[in-house]
Amino acid sequence: MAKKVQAVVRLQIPAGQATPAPPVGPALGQHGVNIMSFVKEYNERTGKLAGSVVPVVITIYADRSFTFETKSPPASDLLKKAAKLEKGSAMPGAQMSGTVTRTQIREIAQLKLTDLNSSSVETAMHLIEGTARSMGITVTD
Amino acid sequence: MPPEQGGSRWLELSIEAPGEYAEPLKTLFARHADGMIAIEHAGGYNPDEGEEPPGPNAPVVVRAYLPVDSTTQARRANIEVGVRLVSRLQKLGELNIRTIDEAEWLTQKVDPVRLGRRLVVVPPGYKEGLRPGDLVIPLEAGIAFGTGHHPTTRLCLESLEDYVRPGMRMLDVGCGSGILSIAGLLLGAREAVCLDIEDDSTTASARNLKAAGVDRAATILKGTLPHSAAAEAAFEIVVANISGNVLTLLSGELLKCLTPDGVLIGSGYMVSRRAELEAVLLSDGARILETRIAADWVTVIAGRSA
Repeated sequence: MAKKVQAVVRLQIPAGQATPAPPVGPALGQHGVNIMSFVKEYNERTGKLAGSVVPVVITIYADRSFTFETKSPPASDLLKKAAKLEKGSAMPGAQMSGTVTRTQIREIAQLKLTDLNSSSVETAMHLIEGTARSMGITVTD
Repeated sequence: MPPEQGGSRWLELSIEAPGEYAEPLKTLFARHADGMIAIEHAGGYNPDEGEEPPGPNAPVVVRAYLPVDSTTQARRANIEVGVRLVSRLQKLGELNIRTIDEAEWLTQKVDPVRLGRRLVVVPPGYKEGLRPGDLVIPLEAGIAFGTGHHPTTRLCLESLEDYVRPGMRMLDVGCGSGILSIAGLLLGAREAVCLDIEDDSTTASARNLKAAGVDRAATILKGTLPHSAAAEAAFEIVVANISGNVLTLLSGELLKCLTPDGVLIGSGYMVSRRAELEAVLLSDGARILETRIAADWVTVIAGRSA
């Protein structure tokens, strides 16, 4: 039977660590989704990415069934890991908070390529470098 | 904590905005809610009939969840200031604020589902469509895993129906809602030992086994293997519907609990890791009897090698 989409919910959850607590529980529970089924599936699918925050897009159907698709971790998350930072600069531009190499930028760009909808790694690198600058992270050769 | 006892409370802040403002609001909400946010896009379309989702600037609802504690008011105030600033650029919906209790989302109704040949999972008190000979499992979903709707649980239930014989002893590791032990006992097992590391699960198992009228044949304990209540070579059936990594970790202990002719039903692995699971079981002395697959999930049925 064809299924009508009831809602699409986007969340960001630490890989392998989904629980029924917010945001998962209330965001999905209000649509009648079996929360523990989602938690089990998400944790199994993302367990190997432990340490990263993985965005997930959950499509909920009118019969309360669901499908979900995980995306690559946010560029800011990957940049903080690469620069070994807890958070970005409070005053980007005036006060730089860390450094990443262009090789690291390329690695992040390759990981994010499909989600960024970029035609080439070079274009994706420009986008990632922009994000780095906005966080006060210097890019070096 | 079980939902009926009242659980933790949260403040939910939500606002409707044009799609292009989802990201700025998300960043604002995430900063003050420690990332506990959700963005919801409206549905109402059917992709199978060629209907398209709303465009990128269709309204979305952005939600943030703040724990109710000494920091709540400061976090809320910061979000309200940010929303007022964004409102100068774009007219937004009203910022809705309400207190929610975890019981709201943890108390879920189970949809009736028929599994295997005779097993039927229903919400308590449900009688419709039952047939003579059905083995009825009344279940409250709650926070514990296992309602029969997930492929791993379904595979376990169907396997239990094929392998449980009257008088068998059964060990249920990671019992969750207790659904597998209830099924085993209804199928004729004379005793079930149910283990789980979560208080919510042991509570849910106790409640559901009692509702099914089989609690007297069950021993429900908090813990995992090895466990004093799970003696070696004592169980004809050992079932474990748990995370793939834990299944691998406990593989040897699970096999030790089997009688020489006993059967292990291990579920919770994704199909992509099937070879990994089978290799671990074999190295721990298992003899693979069969493998069952549903959707992306695999259940391995194994005995002890001679």
